[in-house]
Amino acid sequence: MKITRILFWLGLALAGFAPARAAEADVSAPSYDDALRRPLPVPENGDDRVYLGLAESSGTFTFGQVKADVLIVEILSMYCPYCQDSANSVNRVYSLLQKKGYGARVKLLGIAIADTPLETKLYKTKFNVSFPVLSDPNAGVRANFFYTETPYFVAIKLGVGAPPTVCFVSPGAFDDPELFVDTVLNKSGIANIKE
Amino acid sequence: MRSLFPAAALLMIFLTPGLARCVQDPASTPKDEIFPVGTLKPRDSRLKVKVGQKAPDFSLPSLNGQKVSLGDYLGKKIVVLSFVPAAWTPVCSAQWPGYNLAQDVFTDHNAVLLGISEDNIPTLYAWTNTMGKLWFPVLSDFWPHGRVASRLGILRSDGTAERALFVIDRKGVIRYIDVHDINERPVLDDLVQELDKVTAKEK
Repeated sequence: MKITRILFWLGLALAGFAPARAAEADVSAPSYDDALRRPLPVPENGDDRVYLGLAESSGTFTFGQVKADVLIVEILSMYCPYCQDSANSVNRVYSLLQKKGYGARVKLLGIAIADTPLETKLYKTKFNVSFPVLSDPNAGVRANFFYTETPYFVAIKLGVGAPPTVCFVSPGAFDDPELFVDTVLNKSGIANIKE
Repeated sequence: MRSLFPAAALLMIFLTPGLARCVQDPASTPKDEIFPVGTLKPRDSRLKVKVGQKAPDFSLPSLNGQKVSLGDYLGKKIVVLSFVPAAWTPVCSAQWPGYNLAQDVFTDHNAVLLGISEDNIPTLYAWTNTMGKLWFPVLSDFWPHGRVASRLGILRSDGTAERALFVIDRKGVIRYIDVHDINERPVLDDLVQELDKVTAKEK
């Protein structure tokens, strides 16, 4: 009888604290630390480097070096039909950010996991993707980000002098690009900060 | 009332949002539709053909109800045969969607892709519907079971096919064979390279 009472009060306590725990998990999951520090290859394409604000034309960079207030990372694969289906919606996110005046502050970066550079280029060309998409043939980024399937979206808040932090994670495709943009703007707090 | 305590306690624990977060949204987890097969023996057959040999002709039913023969393309197109082990399994469920995106690679080389599996037509129909509209014919080697795969020497002991690629030139000669580790997806680069070679040779 004692055990059932303990179980009851434990359940009640967990229910009460749950929203706080969920919110915490959204913004500061320690498992992202390795991913945020992971070196990525500098894009070969000059336009991609300009978009990301990278000065070097070779070598590696980390998310924190991207010149933006928020970086939306899409983890995708050319072989993933769900990524293919959502390509137009993600392109719409890019154009919505430009249209709303956030183009320079909120940027997009695709990472094609387990895809070769050729496969990555094919995806980018086929869907006319305007933002950089990096090839990650060894799926190293997948190992660092806490996710199960593609596509997978991670919004990283960047700031001068502050370490990058994951402010929003969205597993799977999304239906409404407008809602997605609004969510990223709100979760990152950028919607309330004037440039 | 006493008997309700354990049930209520368990219900609360399961309904706790922080714990429910661990459960994925089925709409965004295609993994739920894929049967987990684990790691399989990389290769479980012995090839009966080799590069330079004439490919054995075959005729198999396709998803649109028509039979497709290798001979249909003789003298016209390079043929790429993509055998996949089984519908609704990992790796296979991604390989063809990738080829679907790479249509230009095949048309640029005047090549046709034939996707072949040992599953029956209804299974292939349901499975490939999840991939969107495939531009290439999908053929069933279900009955007599595995006849084509067996003639090529890529039928595994459990009745599935190897994950294998064959490039056959316009004369019907096998120019490339990749019996791949069943657990891994072949990269497109290797196939493109072989198509380049065959195309250059035919010029």
